Amino acid sequence: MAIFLKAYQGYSGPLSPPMSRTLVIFRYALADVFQSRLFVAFFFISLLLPLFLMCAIYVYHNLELLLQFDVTPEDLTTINGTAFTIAMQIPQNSLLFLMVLGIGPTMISPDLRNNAMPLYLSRPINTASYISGKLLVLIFLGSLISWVPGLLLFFLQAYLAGGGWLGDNLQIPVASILTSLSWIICLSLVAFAVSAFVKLKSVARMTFFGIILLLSVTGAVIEDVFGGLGAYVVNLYAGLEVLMTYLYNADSDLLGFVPQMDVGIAVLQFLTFSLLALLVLTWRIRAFQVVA
Amino acid sequence: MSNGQLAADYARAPLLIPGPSLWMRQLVAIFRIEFGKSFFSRRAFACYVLALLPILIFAVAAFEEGDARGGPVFESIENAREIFGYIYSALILGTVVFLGSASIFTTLFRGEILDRSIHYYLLTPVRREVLVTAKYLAGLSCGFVLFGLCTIICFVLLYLPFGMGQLVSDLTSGIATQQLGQYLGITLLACMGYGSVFMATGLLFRNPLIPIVLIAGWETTHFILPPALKIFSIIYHLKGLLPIPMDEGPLAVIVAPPPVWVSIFGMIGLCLLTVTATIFLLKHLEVKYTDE
Repeated sequence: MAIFLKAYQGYSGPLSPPMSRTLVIFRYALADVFQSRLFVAFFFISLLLPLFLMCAIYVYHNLELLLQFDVTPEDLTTINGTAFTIAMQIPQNSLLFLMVLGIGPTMISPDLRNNAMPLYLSRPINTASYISGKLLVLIFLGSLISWVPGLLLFFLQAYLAGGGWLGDNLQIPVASILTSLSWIICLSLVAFAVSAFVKLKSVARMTFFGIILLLSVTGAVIEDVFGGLGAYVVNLYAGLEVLMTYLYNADSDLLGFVPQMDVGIAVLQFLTFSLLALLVLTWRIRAFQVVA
Repeated sequence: MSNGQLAADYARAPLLIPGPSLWMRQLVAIFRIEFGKSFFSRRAFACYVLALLPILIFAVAAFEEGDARGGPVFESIENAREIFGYIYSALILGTVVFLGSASIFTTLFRGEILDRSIHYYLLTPVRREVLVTAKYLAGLSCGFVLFGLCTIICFVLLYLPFGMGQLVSDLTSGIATQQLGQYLGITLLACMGYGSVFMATGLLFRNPLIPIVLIAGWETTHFILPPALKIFSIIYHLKGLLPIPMDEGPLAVIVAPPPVWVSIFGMIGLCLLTVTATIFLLKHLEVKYTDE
């Protein structure tokens, strides 16, 4: 072969499907996450809550056990959307926040710090695949500790309650999936955006925690001083409360303080935060670096 | 080297004999370096943003003609002082000073370890006590200058809707100076208390987020803690010093605030204890950059 023909030629063979390339990033990122013993412990502790609630539902429907505890079925509260919100969704929201706080801000920064982006993006992986691969890790793990056990609880309750309980409470599984996914995706994208700016893992975690804490306190302060809905726009948790109450069809009086905000604004708030974070991410994740 | 220079060096030699004079010069030298690093580095940018947030809220409140409820933001000067007390307690003290101290003091040692530059200090003939004290004083000065200025500017902005006449009247009657002095004192004590704790945790924990989240959780839930546990909360002692007592909400466990001298000496005691603990930790520090 002539020497000039040995020059670089791009690969022209068949490419694997785009989703399988995304899943490669997902697989390696997941393996990285499970290298932390602290996270493994946290993950299994998170599963204790649905286990406990499963036992509680079993006891709720077991008359003999109830009578042993001197409790009559009339003394017990009805299991409905409000009960699922208080017992399951609210604690799960906190667990999801802790999960994202622990692993979210550290997912992008090592790749940026060690100049790995050109290596990723020189392969047939684009920015969207890269972000999706990383995001899938958090969605997968978050789902395992939130709506997946939530659905199991729902079907257990439906099976034990019998009658028309399933038909009357069909909003619960939809609410569980939508609320958890909105919270996971929005928080994860914000965490990734922080991670793309702050290169040190510990500083990135602190920054993410600070941003979320600051936004909620600032929102509360603005609401108290100025009133109106403007304050809730910066408070992500307020949006989540509104969305949760609406989707679960829960009693806001029993849930405590729920902002009087339209659910459309809450959805818009999640979309705005996610889009802003995505913009930052696409701006930061590039196949080249400008060296000053 | 000329003979004259040699003679000059010999003449200076007594200054290198260990003693209070040398320690003081070393302390001043380290203080100057650390104060510059805390105040003008890129990491300080987060603290500037934090300090600007309450100023922005007060500036909007000062120039806003009416709130979302239809009435003026500040109905009277008494109402304005109450609102200032609330914002100071919730936003400035509970969030800005807390997060700012976490950012400033955690990076004093952990930041150096992450930047792989702590060995430069450890290789110099400087006593660990001098190093810790100088770094702590630098962090404290930086925190107090930033958050003290933030408090003063917010307090002045409070008077903007009421005109200079009100400010001069309050200054001459002593109300404004007394209240501002109290707020500045609380800010100093908060920087001292939180700062010393975060400096120690920065050396103790490889991941500084864990102590920050734990302390934040403890401080935000202090109002529901029983009286025996409340005394271990920094914010409980600081809120007891506020010129206008704040309502802690319906769930709060009502307890009389601690005496002023207990709060002040409690903070000084905490500061001495944790700085001593930091010195102990630094004396036993073995840096392995590869582990970070």
